[in-house]
Amino acid sequence: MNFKPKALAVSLLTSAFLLNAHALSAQGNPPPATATRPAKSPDQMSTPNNAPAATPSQTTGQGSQDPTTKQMNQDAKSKVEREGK
Amino acid sequence: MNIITNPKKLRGFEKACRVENVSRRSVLKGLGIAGSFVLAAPILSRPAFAAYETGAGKMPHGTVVDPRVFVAIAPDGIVTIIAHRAEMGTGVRTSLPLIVAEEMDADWSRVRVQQAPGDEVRYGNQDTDGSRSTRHYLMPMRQIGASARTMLESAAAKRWGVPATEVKAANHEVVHDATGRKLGFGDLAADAAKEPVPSIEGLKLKDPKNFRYLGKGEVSIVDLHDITTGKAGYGADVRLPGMKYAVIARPPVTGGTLVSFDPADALKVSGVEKVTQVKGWPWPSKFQPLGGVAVIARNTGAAIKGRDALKIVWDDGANAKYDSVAYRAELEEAARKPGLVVRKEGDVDAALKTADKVIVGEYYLPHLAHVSMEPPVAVADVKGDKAEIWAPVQSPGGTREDVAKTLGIPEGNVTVHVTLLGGGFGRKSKCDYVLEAALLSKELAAPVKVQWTREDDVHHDFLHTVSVERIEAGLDKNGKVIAWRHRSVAPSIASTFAANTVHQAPFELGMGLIDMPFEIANIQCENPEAAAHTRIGWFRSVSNIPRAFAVQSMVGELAHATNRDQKEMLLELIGSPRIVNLSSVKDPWNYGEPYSSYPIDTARLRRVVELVAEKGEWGRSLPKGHGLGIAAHRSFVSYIATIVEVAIDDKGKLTVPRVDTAIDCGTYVNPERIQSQIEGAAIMGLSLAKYGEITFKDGKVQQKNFDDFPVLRIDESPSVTNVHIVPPGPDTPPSGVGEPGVPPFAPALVNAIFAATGKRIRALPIGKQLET
Repeated sequence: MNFKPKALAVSLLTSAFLLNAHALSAQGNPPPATATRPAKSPDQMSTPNNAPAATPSQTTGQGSQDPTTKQMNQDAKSKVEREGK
Repeated sequence: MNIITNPKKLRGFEKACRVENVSRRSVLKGLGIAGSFVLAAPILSRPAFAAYETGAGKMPHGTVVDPRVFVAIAPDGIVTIIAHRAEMGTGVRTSLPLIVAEEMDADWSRVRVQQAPGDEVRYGNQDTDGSRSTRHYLMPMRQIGASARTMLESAAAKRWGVPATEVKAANHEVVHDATGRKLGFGDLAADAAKEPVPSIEGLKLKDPKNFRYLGKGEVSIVDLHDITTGKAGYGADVRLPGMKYAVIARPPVTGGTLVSFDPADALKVSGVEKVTQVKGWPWPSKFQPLGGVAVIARNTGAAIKGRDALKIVWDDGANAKYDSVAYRAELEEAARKPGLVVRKEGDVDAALKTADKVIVGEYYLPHLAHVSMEPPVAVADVKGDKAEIWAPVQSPGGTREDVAKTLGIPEGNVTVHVTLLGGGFGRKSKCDYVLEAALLSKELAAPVKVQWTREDDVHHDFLHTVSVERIEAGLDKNGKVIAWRHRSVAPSIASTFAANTVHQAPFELGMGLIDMPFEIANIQCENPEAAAHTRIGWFRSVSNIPRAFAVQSMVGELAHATNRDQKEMLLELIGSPRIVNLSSVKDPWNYGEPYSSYPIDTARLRRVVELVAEKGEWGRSLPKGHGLGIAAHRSFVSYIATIVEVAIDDKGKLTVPRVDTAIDCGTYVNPERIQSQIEGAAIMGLSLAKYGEITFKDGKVQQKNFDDFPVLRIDESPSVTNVHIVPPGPDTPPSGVGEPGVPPFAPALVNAIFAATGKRIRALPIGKQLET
């Protein structure tokens, strides 16, 4: 079955002229830039670090020792292994 | 059932969303009752009865098939149906209630949809992921609708003093043909509510040939008007009286911790009220927050400026040296050595030694960020031991559970209101952003909105894994493939829950690796070790992305090596129509579905290849610089084949004039939604293939926004995308639609690029690889 909706196509076509007219106007008079990018990231630094290179064979996680979080991790792992998500 | 009954309790969000306000009195007379339902009738948590079995029963909280939970009818006849799954653009908020309405024989124009809060005891499993909402809920929703219909018919029959067999529901009424008498659903609601809920086994479902809505593609999603006119309410639109706005500076390296921070300059920013530390958990800790420093302000802009003014010292921890270039080299090295064998048939080593020719392909796919248009955001209002949440979440029940555990309060005291999601793709299955809001609200004793910026979203995502896929294919002297070894090396999603994870979990192996369906005498699949050094998560179609890319690219390479047509090579490898036997695999997973309902059926895979070749005019003559590529893949128990046509100019600029995709997803509800999901998958597939790459240096994500992690723009989108849906057999179970369109796109694209240029792309993103 090859499904092709038509309604959206009609609405796009009827608005195409309006979009093109607006674009012509914009080329001659570009609007002022109003979006500003973040000026900077937080002023951050890291303490000296002796971590080894991160390799595929060396795990670096430590996991939480908090009993509640440990249980949450185990339950989630079991669920994921059973259902995939 | 979360029907809003008291307008004075409406907050700003619900008003903006125009939730239908059903008065309490009318609801009490109706079929489904909010407060009195809980007191008067136990929830019937019973497994849905179906001609076919699905994995729905094994999901947490299974299915609930009680019409009194999902349906309410007001005296004026308005039917309210609960949508218990989250809406992130797939249309499930419309499709599942539509199934109920169809079976009830309700008039869809007189149906309203109500979003359920997170409550899986009441509604059954609410995880909106895995492309399984329709395949798990088609039958339960039909049974809910049929149960409601039966109760209405029984009520009418009793009122008329006739046998129930003489009446039938039709278009929002129950009619008695013999006498011409009719009663509307609204007139019958109060009596119907007194009828017993019928047994599932005795339900009479509608004959599909009588469907008015299902399978037609004529029903728009309920939110269409509001979404397209900007009136729809998302998580970021939620406003509560007295709400604070929070933006958080998080450790730049996964596993890093806060050493110190100086809030002085941040507190000078106009609008900033407070700067406070956010608790973080050692990684990995499921979806617990990373921690950091929160700036609390009267608006988001002030919070962001305040965060910019912070001075922070971090301890980057054990992942401080994570470097994408070095890690890729290590993955490639690992892929060239034996790994854990996860599938073995025949003797691949012997067959490769005797092969006339061996083709080796190593395929690299980098980390990917979800960048759904709506970055993570959540509002929490914690008062004592009660918490109310408003958030775009894919797992409402899981979110409720995690909020309760994190705050140390009873789960029954947590209400999770699910807003529309501005995209999810798996990112919003992890509720870390909700937990941040909950912790801050508890500390501040005020409602708090935690807003992630795009930079936060890119830096602190649960990224799609990074992968090297190495395939060695041995050919005999006749060009027949006699050996196939596939090594897949990638950090696992399971590393999110366990610190010592170096191998992929069964569900990851079952996505395109161990379930590869080719008819080859000697097959071996291996999974060498790969530890994670950042948060890894589910990303639309998950491990199918690198696997399909590798397998289907190799098909293209084999076609070239043997001077054969790509499509013919693909069909030869798929082999004869048969059910693939994976008895050599310890845990085939099969997307959590039983093989009895969802076998790996190569006839269906062949059919989509043949259909797309026919409809996509495979082999058509093309202008210079154009090429066609084909790929096919089974994922989420659906079958998809895609043809991509590329056009590459003499400077190497790539455009895609046409895409054809054939999909076999079994029984379907709304073909218009299938069309939109496959069109969207083509856009996403092209975007990822052209640009998708997250890289790490010194443990930190190097990208920050769409200037350095671009996504496809409208002028680059495929000019034409045709979707061809295979009509289902009468009892073909429904299968996934949301994700399966993504995996075959990239290999079809690179196969087309090869056809056009002779250049084989084995590492994504394409980036500048085609430039001359």
